[in-house]
Formats: sequence, C-alpha cells, structure tokens
Amino acid sequence: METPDIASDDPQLQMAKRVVTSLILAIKNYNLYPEGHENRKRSMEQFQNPLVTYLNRNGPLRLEIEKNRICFKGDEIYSETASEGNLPAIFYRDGLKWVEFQDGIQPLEIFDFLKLINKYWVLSTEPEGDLVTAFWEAEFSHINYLVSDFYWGVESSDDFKINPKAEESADRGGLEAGESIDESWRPISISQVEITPREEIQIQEMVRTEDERDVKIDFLNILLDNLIDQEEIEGWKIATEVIKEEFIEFIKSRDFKFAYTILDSLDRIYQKEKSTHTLLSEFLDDFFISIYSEDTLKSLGDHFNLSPDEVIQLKKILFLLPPGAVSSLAAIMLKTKSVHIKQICNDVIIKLSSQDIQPLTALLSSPNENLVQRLVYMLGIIRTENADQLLMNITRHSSPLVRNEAIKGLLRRNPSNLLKVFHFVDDPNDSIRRLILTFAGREKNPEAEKLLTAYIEKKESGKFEKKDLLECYQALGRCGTIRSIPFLQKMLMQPGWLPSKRLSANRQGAAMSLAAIGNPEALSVLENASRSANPGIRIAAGRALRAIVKTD
Amino acid sequence: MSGLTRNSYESGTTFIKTLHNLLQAIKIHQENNQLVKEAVAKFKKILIDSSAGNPIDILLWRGRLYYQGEKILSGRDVQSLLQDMLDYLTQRQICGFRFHPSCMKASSAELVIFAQVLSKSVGAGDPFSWIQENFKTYNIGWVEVQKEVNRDFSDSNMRRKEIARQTYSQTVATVKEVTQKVSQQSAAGIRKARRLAQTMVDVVIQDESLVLGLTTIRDYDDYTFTHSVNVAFLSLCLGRRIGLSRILLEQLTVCGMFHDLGKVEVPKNILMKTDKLDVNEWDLIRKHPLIGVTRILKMQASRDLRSRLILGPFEHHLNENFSGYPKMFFTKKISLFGKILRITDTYDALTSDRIYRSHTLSPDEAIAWMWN
Repeated sequence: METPDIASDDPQLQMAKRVVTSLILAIKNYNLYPEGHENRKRSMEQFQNPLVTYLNRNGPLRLEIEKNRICFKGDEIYSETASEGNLPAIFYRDGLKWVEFQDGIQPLEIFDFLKLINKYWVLSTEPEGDLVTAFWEAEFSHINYLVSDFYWGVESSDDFKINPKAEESADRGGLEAGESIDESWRPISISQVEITPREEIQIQEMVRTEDERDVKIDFLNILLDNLIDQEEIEGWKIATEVIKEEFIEFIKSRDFKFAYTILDSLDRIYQKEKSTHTLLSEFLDDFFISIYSEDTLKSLGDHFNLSPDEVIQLKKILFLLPPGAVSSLAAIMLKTKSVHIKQICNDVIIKLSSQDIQPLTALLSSPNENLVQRLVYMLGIIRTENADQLLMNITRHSSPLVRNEAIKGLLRRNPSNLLKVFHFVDDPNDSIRRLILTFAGREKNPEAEKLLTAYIEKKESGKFEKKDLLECYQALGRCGTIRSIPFLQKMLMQPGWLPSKRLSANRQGAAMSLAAIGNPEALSVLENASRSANPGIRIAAGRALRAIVKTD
Repeated sequence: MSGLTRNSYESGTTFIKTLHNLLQAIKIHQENNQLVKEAVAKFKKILIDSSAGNPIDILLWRGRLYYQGEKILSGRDVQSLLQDMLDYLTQRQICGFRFHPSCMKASSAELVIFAQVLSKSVGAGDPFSWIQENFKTYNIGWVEVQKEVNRDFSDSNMRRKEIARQTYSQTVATVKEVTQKVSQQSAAGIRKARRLAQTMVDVVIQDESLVLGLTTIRDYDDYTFTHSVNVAFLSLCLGRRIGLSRILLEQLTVCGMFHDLGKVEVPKNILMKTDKLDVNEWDLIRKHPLIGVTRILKMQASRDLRSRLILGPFEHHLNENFSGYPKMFFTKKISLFGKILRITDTYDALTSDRIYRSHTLSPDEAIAWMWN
C-alpha cells in the first residue's frame, strides 16, 4: 500500500487521506474479526470519526476511483498494486467512478457500507450481483456514487431493423393456444378503465401484501407443479435438486412447517403418479432415497432447545421418511450433542423400524459399540416378530455393554425369557451376572426359584466364588417361596465339623435366603438351626436371625 | 461514456412538498399557528440540507417543474401537489425561484415573510414586480423569483433519452447473451441483468415517457429478445404505477426479461410458423413456461432471488380463473408478478404485427380487446 506525499499545507487533502486510510483499515478488520468483536467495532469508529470531522468542516467528501488508486480532487491519496487485492480495484471492477459521503451519515450506513464491500470483495464466476447492485438496493441516504457503463462493452444502440414484409413473425407469445383474435371488439370508454376508490384500496392492499409476502410457499408450489407438469427427466432432476436444497435449508433454519410441506407434497405426487406415470414415480423413489441421506439431514444435529411445538413438527417430518432413513438418523443421533435431537431420533428410529426392521438390523454389525448398544435398546422396544431371535443372536456379542442391553431387552419384552438367558449368570462380566440375578430375584417367581436352586446345586459341586454364591442365595431369598425351604434347609444343615469355605458359604447363603423368605416355616428352620450342636450351623443361623431382628 | 448518478431526483420531490406545505400553511393559518411553525422548521432544514453552499433552482418549463435542472417526477402520490405548484406559479406569472446559498442562514421570521409575500402577490396587478419590491422591503435577499426561464432543458432531456435508448439496447443484448448461454447449457449469472434492471427502474422513476416510446420497437430478427425487453419495461411501468417498491420493481423487471426464456427450446420453425399450429406444436409452445422455470433454476442466483424470478415466467400464461397453461395442482393463487406479466405480455403481442391479423392493434384497441 502506498500513500503519496501530500502537501502538508493542504489540510483538506490531509483529512481526506486520513479518512481513506481509516476506511482501508476498517475493511481489513471487518474481514478479520467476527461480528461483535471489539476490534471490528473500534475500527469502524476509527473510520467514522475522521469522516464525520471532514464532513462537518468541508461538506461532502468525494473519492474518485481509478484503477488501483483513489484520488481526491484529482490528487492521488491512496494506491495499491493489483496483486494485493485492493479497495480501488474492487470499486473499479464494478464500474464505480466516484463515491461520495455526505453530512449526516449514520453509523448504521457506515456499517452497511463496510458489510457490502466485504461481501462483494470477491465475485464468483457468474455472480448474482456486485457492489453496485448492492448499493442500489441499500439506498443509502448519505452515500452517493456514480457508475460508468464501461462494463457493458461496445453494444450498439442503433435502431433495430423493422421489415414486416420480409420477416413477419407468427410468434404465439402472449395468447392462449389456438385462440384467434376476434377483431370486432367493442370499444371501451375511459370511465370503464378509470380506477375507482375501492379498486385503489384493493391495489394498495395487493402491493402491501406483495411487499410483505414470504414467497417461500409460492416458490415451493411452483416447483411441485413444475415437477408434475414436466415430462423430461432433466426437468425433474433440476426441480428435485432445488426442492432438496430447499428442504435442507428449511431444516437448517428450523422452518419445519415448510420442510414438512415438501415431504408431504412429494408423497402426494408420488401416490398420484404411482399408478399412471411409472417413470416419475420411479424417479421419486430414487429421490426419496437421496433426501434421507445423512448429508441432507445432518443439520438436525445442530438444533438445541427445541420448543415442544418444534419437537412435534420435526417428528412429523421424520415419520414421513422411509425405514431406510434409520441409518442416517442413527448417525445423527450418535454425533449430536442435542438432547432433544437424540430423543427424537430415538423415537423415530423405533417407529420406522416397526415398519421394517431390516435397516436397523443391518446396523447391528457396526463396529461402533455405542451405536449398537442404543440400537439394541430400541430393538427391545420395537414390536416386531423376530425381535426376540435377533436379540438372542446379539447376546453373543463381544461387547458386554451390548450383551447386557440385549438381555435387558429380552427380559423387558417377556419375563419368561429368563429361562433363555439364565445361563448368562455365568457370564464373565459382573454386570451381566448381576442383571440376571437381580431380575431373577425381583419378585416371587417359581421359575426363577427353580433356576436358582438348580444353579446353586450345580455350583455347589464345582468351582465357585463365595461372593457369587451368596448373591445367588440372596436372589433365591427374594424370589423363593415355601418350595425352596427344603433345599435351603438341606444346604444349611449340611454335616461337617471341620471349617470349610464351601460349607461356610453355603450355610451362610442358605441362612440368608431363609431369612429373606421370612415365612414361619423358614424362620422355624432357622431357629432350629440356631440351636444346632454344629457351631458352623449355629453361627450361620444365628447371624441370619439377628439380621432379621435388626431389620425389624 | 455516460453515467447515471444515484437517483437524487427524489430530493426534488421532497423539496417541492416541503415548500408547498409551507405555502399552504401560510395561506390558511396565522403565523403563530403550530402548523405554520412546523412547516417553517421543515423548510428551513431542507434549505440547509439541499443547498450545502450551492444555489437551489426551482423552475417551471414547458409545463413541468424542474429541480436543479432535473425534471421532477409526477408519480401518483405527488401529481396533485405538482399541479398545485404549477397553478400557484402560473397565477403569479412567475417561472420559479433561485435560492442563493445564503438561504441556509434565513431565519424563521424571514421564511414566514417569504411565504406571506408570495401568498398575497396573487392580488397584485404585476405580481412579479410586487414580489420583488416586497422582498427588497423586508430584506429577503436570499431568494429571487424568476419571471422567465433562460435555459433550455432539452439537453438534459436528450441526455436522459440517450441513456434510456442505451439501456434498452444493452438489455436486449443481455437477454440474448443469457438465452444463448442457457441454450448451450452453460452457467448464466444475472449480474448484468440486475444492473440493467436497476438502471431501468431509475430511468422509469425519473420519467417513464422516456421508455414507453422504446417499447414500440419491433425487431423481427430478434423478436423474442425485443419482446422480452418490451415486456420488462411495460411491467416495470405498470408496477411503478401501482406503487411497488424499488426492490420489487427490479425483480419484476428481471422477471420480464426472462419470462420467455423457455422458448429457447421451442424450434424456431414453430415459433415463426405462419399457418395455424397443430396439436403437437401447441404442446411444445405450452411447455415453454416449464422450460423457462428449469432454465431459471439453473441460473446463478441466490435462493431468495430465484424464489421471486420463477413466479412470473411460470404464470404468465395463466388467467385469473386458472385457465391457460401450465396446469396447477398445488398453486392456489397467481402472484402479482404473474398477473402483471400476463397483461404486459399480451399487450405487447397484440400491438405487434401478426400475419393472421388484418392489422396491428393500436394501444386502445389492445386494451379494449383485453378488457372484453
């Protein structure tokens, strides 16, 4: 950046130069710092201050634009080389000849001015607009500019040829197909076409409505009508691409109502076309697959603090998706930190999987344990025929978390599944074992009672951990009934005088069970045992009885 | 090179409104009335804002008011006010005022006197001289009344006409360029179209008569393109008459430019056919709104802009009762843009030569036909 030497005795020039320097800095900082950042705000003020000072003292400030430089009353006050990407070049690029700031300029105008320069600093290959279109739209009250039309090249403004005899056109633009003009029209009077006061009001209302209107829904309706009326694949392709873009934007902006409208309307078209227009319905089939991809739905994961209404609307949208959407929803559910979205994905996956379990099943072989665990949880809830079998298969999963979830699922679906999963009481994972025993002992249950009794008996003769054995007895105590008493009595009253870990554990366990069962028969066995000559038996029974007393 | 400044012609309207307000207030109320005080304060402010060290000229020339050499627009909202001012000046046999830079320092009392002198001058035998004498008596040296206009504003009118013509031809070229890009399946942006549309809006707001003459141009080699530009201009004028905002006018103009973009895929021999079209050929013609939508969707335009741009092209062959084409299933209401384009598209087609009509319809006949 070069600022030329300015004659020090020209204060106006000096002031203009200061304004331009501060403008360049303000633009740089606008680009570097995010909205609200202190540096951005400060540099804007640092531009505003010298500018306002200049305007107050000297009136309007006009900056003349040339390629790579800015002049003031013919004198260069700022220049940059093209390679540095510079403000004069941007202005010059868009055809600005001069920009003039006027007294009374407001901070908001300055802010918008900087914002637009930043926005249009770089133009794409075929841009929608540029600085000049943006300035025009902004309609600044205190910033004027002059645009040259060098941009347009050398189009001729010659008269157009008119040669009616040689090349008359029968172009049908503007008239209905097949319509001929009846040339015996009735003339009309001026009064017929004069607008009445009532019509004036109607027009004003139309204009006011048009200004305030949100064209989203009209645009959507036209896209959908276009889709139906088209007969070319290219037309469908473009229409659906735009519809998909709209859908993504609506999801991103939480405009769930419109997102729902899109899916619902497409579904209606699909239903309408299915029987009569197989090509479009096939096309829509493929389209629906693309619309529920993770890429399309990924912005869902960024939505936090959804209102109850939004939750309902979003679920409505997602319920319209086909079961194949499960994999995308599962991925979003894993990645998102939004509690709302997790829950919504959870509910939707369950619902969609009820229609077709296959997509969910396919995900169960995922290496992501966390995902599989969640899906297994859902499988435990889904009402589908082969869920039990699927869950049983999953009980062989290498991950204890997953096995745990599968077993829980099975037990949740049907308590009698305990019979199928009881063998997991031998699972190397503690939590699984405890799960089985806790479930078995949750209430009085003859099946559980039988299983536990048989297990203890089997364990009794093999290797065991005392802790594990006692847990089994505890469970038996909770689910056991009068039927278990003979077994427990047998285990308590086992003969043997020498101290033995096995004997001790069994006696202790049996005594605990009897105490937990707590009916008169059980208590009687305990009391008799507490008077046994065998100290081991006596101690075990005594402890159990004292524990009852303490509890009481 | 010619250029176009940002439209400062609205300053003229504001100035005249404020002046008119002051003159009316003085005519009706006493000088200590609150309305008079407010009118004086507003006029004082506008003198300061408008002058900025330069004189301000308000002149009546050939039945139109000029502010700083620029014709003041006669939109619907100011028509009666401008007529009032014309009558006011004519009754006093004066052609306007020159406010010198010293008007920035005029006191409120002086402004009241200025307005009172003008108000009472209508009874004088020679109002111009009477005003001059009274201004001298009361030391109102910061304003002069003009008896005759020694300027010819034709030059500035010619300059504006030239800008309008250039804009017209550039717009035709741009529509052609975009249409060709679209037919070659290349990316097409709308930057140029928007720049031109904005210029067109400025020109029409300044003086719509400058462009209405241009819309009678017919180029039969490039009929579709000139027709599109004519429709754009006519729609713009109609939109302005009903009071659409500048932004909407720009969008409407761009819609007009590209309303027939879909015809790029209709074979030229069908477009140019002199005999009646058969069923298949009509089917092709009827598809052009759909094709137009497809083409516009492919243009490099933002989501917001695109939403507006497709409305008109899609709907411009639909009538209020949904007869016409294409068929609608979801759309329940025709947009305002669609209605405007329907009217202007039909009007331009009717006033063009057609081999199957015995004569080209005049504007009146076209309106009558459309009305019936």
